[in-house]
This record gives sequence, structure tokens and C-alpha cells, in this order.
Amino acid sequence: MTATALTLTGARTGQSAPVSFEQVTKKYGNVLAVDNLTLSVENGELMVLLGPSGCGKTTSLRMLAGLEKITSGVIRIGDVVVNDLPPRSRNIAMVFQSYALYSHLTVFENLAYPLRVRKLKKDEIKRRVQEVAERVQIADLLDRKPREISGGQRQRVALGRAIIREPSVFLMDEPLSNLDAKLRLHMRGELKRFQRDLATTTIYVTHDQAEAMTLADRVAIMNKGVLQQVGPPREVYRQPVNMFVAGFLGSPPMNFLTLDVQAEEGQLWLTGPNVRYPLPPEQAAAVRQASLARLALGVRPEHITLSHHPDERAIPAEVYLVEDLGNELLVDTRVDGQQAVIRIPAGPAPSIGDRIWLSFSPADLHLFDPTTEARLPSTSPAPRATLS
Amino acid sequence: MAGESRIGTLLRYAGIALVLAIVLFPVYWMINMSFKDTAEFTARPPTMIVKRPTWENYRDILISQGFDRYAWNSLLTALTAAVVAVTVGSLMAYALSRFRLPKNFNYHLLFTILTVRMFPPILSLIPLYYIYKQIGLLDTRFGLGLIHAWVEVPLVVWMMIGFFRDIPRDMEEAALVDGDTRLGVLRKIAVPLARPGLAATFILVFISSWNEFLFALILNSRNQTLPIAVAGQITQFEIRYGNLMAAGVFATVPVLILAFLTQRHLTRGLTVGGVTG
Amino acid sequence: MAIRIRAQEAARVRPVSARAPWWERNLAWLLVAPAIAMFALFAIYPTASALLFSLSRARLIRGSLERTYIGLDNFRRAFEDPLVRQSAAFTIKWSLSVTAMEVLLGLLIALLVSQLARGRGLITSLLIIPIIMPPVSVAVAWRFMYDPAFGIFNYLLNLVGLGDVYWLSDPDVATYALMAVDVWQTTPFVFLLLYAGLISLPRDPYEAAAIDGASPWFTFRTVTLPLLKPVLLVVILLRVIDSARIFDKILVMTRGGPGSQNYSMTYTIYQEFIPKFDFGYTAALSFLFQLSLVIVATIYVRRVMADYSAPAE
Repeated sequence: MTATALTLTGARTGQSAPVSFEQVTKKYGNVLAVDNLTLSVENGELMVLLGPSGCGKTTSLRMLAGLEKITSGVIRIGDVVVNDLPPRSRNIAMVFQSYALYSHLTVFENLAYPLRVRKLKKDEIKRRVQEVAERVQIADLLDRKPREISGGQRQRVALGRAIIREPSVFLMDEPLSNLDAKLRLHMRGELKRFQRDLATTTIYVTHDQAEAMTLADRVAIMNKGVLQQVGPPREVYRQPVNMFVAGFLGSPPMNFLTLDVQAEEGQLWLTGPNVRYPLPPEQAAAVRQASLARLALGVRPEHITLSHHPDERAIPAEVYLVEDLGNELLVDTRVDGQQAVIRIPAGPAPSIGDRIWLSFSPADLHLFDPTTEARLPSTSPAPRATLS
Repeated sequence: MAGESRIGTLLRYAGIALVLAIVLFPVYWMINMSFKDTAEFTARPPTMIVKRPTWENYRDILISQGFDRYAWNSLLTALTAAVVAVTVGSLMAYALSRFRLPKNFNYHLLFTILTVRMFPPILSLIPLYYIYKQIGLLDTRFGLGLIHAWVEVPLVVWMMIGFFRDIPRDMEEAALVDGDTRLGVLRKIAVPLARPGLAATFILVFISSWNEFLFALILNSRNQTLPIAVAGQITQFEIRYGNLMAAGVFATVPVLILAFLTQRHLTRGLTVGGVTG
Repeated sequence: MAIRIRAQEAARVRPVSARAPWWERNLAWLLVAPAIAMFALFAIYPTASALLFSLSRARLIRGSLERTYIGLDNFRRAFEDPLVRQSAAFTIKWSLSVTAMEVLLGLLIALLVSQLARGRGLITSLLIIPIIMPPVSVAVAWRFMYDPAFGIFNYLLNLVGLGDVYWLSDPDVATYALMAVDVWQTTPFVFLLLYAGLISLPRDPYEAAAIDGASPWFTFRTVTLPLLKPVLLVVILLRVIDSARIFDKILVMTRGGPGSQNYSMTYTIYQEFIPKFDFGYTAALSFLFQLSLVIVATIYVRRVMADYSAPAE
């Protein structure tokens, strides 16, 4: 049994392996940290777990690493159920948010640690450390202690320590969040290259949606311990399954206007004290089917166009604040007291207090049930979540 | 305003100077007297600084009274105590700072060990005398070292919990993921990083064992440790104060040296130790 | 690609066993096992056997222990023994007085040192000296200073025209002379604890008080004392318990004298134990002694444990 487990995890072969969570739950006492998570990560894929702090993404990663016990469910690496295996038998490598470098050891000894633990020969350790050090560009720092090198260099050491022994899976827990903004962008690019070159399954945890969008092959969004949606970044961005996902992706986030639904003259209208917006026929059918009295209308800031002239098919708003970002403007408006932010190219800006009209193409409209926060069914052609 | 605060400062320093004088004088006086010959010892007025320093008193206690042997006894006892207490206590501290035992056992274990520390030593001393006699540990340095170790285990546990908690958890988890065993992590990560704490704890236990009187008096009358030998100087018919002072200094010097070697961590240890035992 | 390690090389990595062995899964228990073993050997077993002793007439006669069950006779005897009553009274008086003086002086010195701009480190290191000195050396040094003929105290008294005082043999003076030695050795320790507490107090309330124009005394009463109260309480409890065990200094300086005036509980038990080897009676006495400290000890332990939190899983 043990022997099979070994060969199947690929613990010896150093080959990338797929990962799957099957109905995995984690409870701390009565607190549900991860609720019935089912998620497969394909071989060689970079999966980003995205969500706000406390959403269960780090707990999921730590369960996969073997650093947390699983309350119920099954986690597999390759074909092997790893629930009861200690971290060292899972053939994983991990980059921690704090880097977790061994502060009493030199950079060389840090990189060599995973190999020394496995009792490799001295000259082979030396050769591989040299190789990896060059790969992550820290070859000249091998004699230093972690406190004697910069944050970016520490990050590279942590990365080097992870790749040195060719694990089946890479786990990364917010590896870039301790870097300053400029370095973070640079390392983000490098990480992506590394991952592509190594073609090793990678699970990457972050709360930064931009990082998720740029790095992920697929992104899994979590909230309050529950998986919300899984898919390629573009798909998740375009077809968010609920208001949480819609609001979490994109910066500034999607605008939501909660309005009343009224049927008049054979047409559906979304209304508020000052709003009377005719629902495009494409969406009307879905709304009729759901028979909702109120509706949350979602539009991304970049999909709104703004006009100073009254328009029957637009939503009237008042300019509350204008932020000039240089290459573009963020116009913060109020629609019946609800906030709506519009992103427009740099140019003539409206003034505070102006009355303006917001319009958008029906294709860019997202409709949600304001009580369940779910996307209205027929307007979401994408599956709710890619379950395996 | 400035003048007033200057006077205040002056008064404060004067106050602290007085405190230091009171604290240091008896120590100084003992050292001063230990270097006086018989004539100078009884001289009136007493000489504030010894005029004709002599090693006579030290030669007496070392050569004719065998203080070298007592020092050896003290050293072996204190080393036993320190090695055992630091090993046993640190292992427990590591377990309590890194693992959560079922049913809140972490709390119960600490609570129990701290409660035992509150028992007067004489309570266990009487049965221990008998037990030691039965198993042949009576009048051995090892036996005395063991009981000294036990007395200090609560201090070690409490101190080392603090040091182990200061080690980032991440670092140990990284080592686990890198392929090490729990024991390997303890040996290669936790112990090296807690070394200053281990050293300070070791020295505190050493000092406490070196100084201990009651157990040493009753459980080890044959291999007397220094405190017993020093006290023994007075039980004779006449007190030879010169020798007595030298003996007092002789017993004090080693702990003073140790204390100053690890001063920074020692203060932490004494403070933690006070709030816990 | 440089980084890709060829398959046969990777295969040379020694296989790691899959499941953790039993000792690793139960490592926490193994790590606490030695302490628990010592606990059994040095606490549970002696306490249980002390309990048995206390209910027996148990004496060491020619190297072997003779033991007969006598019920509560030892305890009855203890309550009727005037020496026990006297030493209990002495121990209470000693413990409370010494603690009061040490805490008062310790607090004063701590306040003083915490207000100094410079030299705090040096002062603290010098004040450590008495704490770590062997109590026997301390007793010896003071015994000499107290000596009626050669001691410095009487010399100074004579200098200002006062007569000799028999510090350790005059019944009116001896107890206080002994207390002074304990206060001298332990006040620095109390200082260290209170000083550590004092410098870790938050700064904000002090700044607020200063802005409000509060006087130093008012600030002390309304800010420092309430904030320091938890530390103060723990220190007081600890000192009450520890000072009640006083033994070594009394033995070295006066052997409990003059007469039996300065017999502490431990000294009395010691006197009963060493020449006579009366295990039964001394065990009973120790139990009574322990019992009388139990309340203070319990409050102390609970206080200290209140700050403890187990590690996250």
C-alpha cells in the first residue's frame, strides 16, 4: 500500500501531478473555514485561489500542503489520497508570504535544505544549488544570511528553494505581497515565466485580483469558505455568477444599482425615484421568468458612456466627484443616492454637481437577483462552477 | 521649570545612588574583609579598603578545609540539574508552543506544573529522603541534581515557551514542506534559533542549583555543596570570620561571572521566572 | 532548460516513507513524557507517600523504617504543639512584613529608575547581584556586619555615641535584623518584576494625563497604580508564598534563635526531622503548612495562567 502510494504520487520522479479537492471541509471548533470545496487542478495548470482575507483560500492551500488536518473530504495529488500523509511525503514545494527563509542558515544552506533532508550527495547538492541560484539570479549571494539581503532577493531565494527539487505541485501563499509595487509587477512576470517553463501544477493564493487575472490559467474565487466560481480569468470577468464575484474582480469594481421592476405598455422598466430605464428585450425574458420585484443591475465602470444631454434610454445621475488618473478619469456619480463609477479616457471632465446621463450597451449589462445575489439564469450561459 | 526639573533629576540620581550603595555595600564589605589578615580584621576603625591584602583566608578554606572538593560537588550537581531541567523543560515547552493537545491538555499540563512549584519543598523532601535512601540516590550529586532539576522545570518550560513562540511558525512549516520530519525541524530549526534562550535558561538553573540549601543539606550530607560548606563554617565552636568571608566570596564568584556573561537574557529569565516560578 | 533535472537524477533522491511513523504522529506526547515522568517521580509519588506517612507513626530506626497506622494522631499532636503554633505565627508575620517592605521599596525603586534618562541598564545589572547570590553567602556577609564586637553596624553606632546592639541575640531586635537581610536580597527581584511591568505600560494615558495637567502623585494614583495592579498582585502573591518558606538565612544567622523565637515553619519541620527522623509527624506538619498556603497559591496560579493561550492548531 505504502509502496504504491509512493510511486503514484510521483514522489521520486519529480513529475508534475494534478490536484483535486473532493468535498473538503475544514472546521475550527464550530467555525467553518472551508465549506465543502470541490475543485480540480489540471496537470501543469496555474490555478489561482482568489478571495478576501478569511475566505478559506489559505486554509485550503495549507490542507493541501499537509499543514492543516482535513475535517472531512478527500485531497488527491495525482491518484493518491494525501489526507494522512505528512507534508514531506506529498512532494510539494511551497513559497510562503513571509518567505520563511531559515534565518540562521546562509542562502546556500537554505537552497540545499530540501536536498540535504533527502540525503543527496554533497557534490550533487552543490551543483544543483549553483544551477538554481543562477536560474533565480542569486548566485552571488550564496554566502549571505537572509537578513543581509533585500526583500526582492529573499523572494528569489524562497522561489529557488521551492524549485530546487522538482516537486509535483507548487504552492504559493501570497508570495508577492511583501514586495513594493514596482518589484511586485516585475516578479509577477517572472513567476509566470518560471511556471510556464517548469510546467508544474501550481496553486497560487492571493487576494489581489489583478495578480489573479494576469497569472492564472484558471481562477477559483472563494468567499466565506465557499467556492463561488472557477474558470479562465476572462470568462470569470465577463460572466460572474453572482454579485460577489462581479464586485471582487475589476478595479474599480462593477457598479450595482438596485431598482424596481415595473411592467408597462408591454415593456419592462427598471425604476427608481428619478430613474425610468427600459429593459432591453434580450434581458426582459429572463426577468419575466424570475418574476422579481427588484433587480440589481450591474455595469462595469469602463462600459458606461456619459452624456450631458437627456436621453430616454439612459440613467440620470449627478456628478459627485471626479478623479483624474492622468490617462483616464474616474467619475463618481450618484443615481438615486446609489454610487456609480464611470471610467472614461482623459479629456474634458464633467464638473461636480453636473447632471449627466449614463448609457451602456445591452451586452454589457449584468442582472442579479438582489436577495440571492445570483446572476439571473438565462443571462449566464457559462456554468456556475467548473466542477470535475 | 527647567531648574526645577534639573533639581528633580539630581534628586533622583542621588536616590538611586543611595539604593546602589545599600545594595552593593554588604557585597563589597564581604570581599574587603576576606582579604584581611587577623590583625587588620579586628582593627578599629575598620579599614574601608584592605591595606595588606592576603590570600591567607582563601588558602585556608581551599587547602585545609577542602573547598575545592565542595566546589566540585556543586559544579557536578548544578551541571546535572541544568542539563536535565533544560532538556526536559524545553521539550515540554516546544510541545506546548507548537502542538495543541486534545482536551485542552496544554493548559492542564502547565497549570499542574505551576501548581507543583507552589508546594513547599519540605513536603516532598521528607518522602524523597526515604525514596532516595531506598534506591541509592541519597548522598549522591546526581540525585541532588535531579531534584534541583525538577524544581526548576516550571521555570524552564515557561521561559522556553516564550522563546519558541518567537520563532516564526512559517519557518518550521517551510522545513516540513521541504521534506523534514517534526523531530528534524526541532533539531535543525527550533533549537538553533532558540539557542540564546536555552543558554540563559541553562545558566539560571545552574545558579539556582548552585545556591540551593535545604535539599542539599538533607539529601546530600556526604558530598557537601558549597552553601552547606559555607554554613558549616559557623557551626564550629568559634567562628573564624576571615575564613567565613572568603568562603562566602568563593561561593558567590562563579554565579556572578555566569550572570554577567548572559546578562541581557538573564534579566528576561528572572522576570519571566518571577511571574511564574 | 537548465533547471529541469533529468529523470534519473531525480530518481536518486531517496524515497521518503509515505505515512508518518507512530512516534512522529504522537510527537507532542513524547516531548512532554519526560516532564510527566519527573512529575510522577518527584511530585505525585512523594505527595502520596507523605500522606501515608502523616497517618502513621513512622520512624527511621537503625536504617529501617518502622511504620504503624495511627490515624490523625500526628495532626492532633501538631495542633497541640506550642512550638508549631509559635512558628506558624512567626511565619505569617514574617511573610506579610517582608512582602510589604519588599513591594513598597521595590515599587519605589522601580518608579525612580523608570524616570531616569540614562544608566538604567547599568543600574539594573548592578541590582541583579543580590538576586543571584547564594543566600548562604548573603547570610554570612550580614552575620558578620551584625557581629557585636567586629561588625560595622556597632562601630557606626559607637561613632555617634550609641551603645552596642546585640542584633541577632536581642529578642527585641533579632527578628527585624533577619527581615532586613531578606529585604536586602529580594527587593531587587521585586524591583525587576515591577520595573518590567512599569516600562511595558502604554504611554498614551500618561500623555493624556500630562496634557490634562495632572500632578505626578495624581497620575501615579489614577494611571500607574491601576495599570500596574495585575503585575503588583502577582508579585505580592508570589512573595507571600516564597517568603513563607524562609529557612536558609535563619539557619545560618541565628539557628532560629534567640531561643526558638525565630523558628519558621520549615525550620521547625527541619528540627523535627533531622535528628529524630520522625517521618510521620514531619509529613503531617508539611501537609498543614502546604494547606495553609493553598489559597494564596491557587490565586497566584490562576492569575499567571490567565494570560496563557494554547497554540492554534
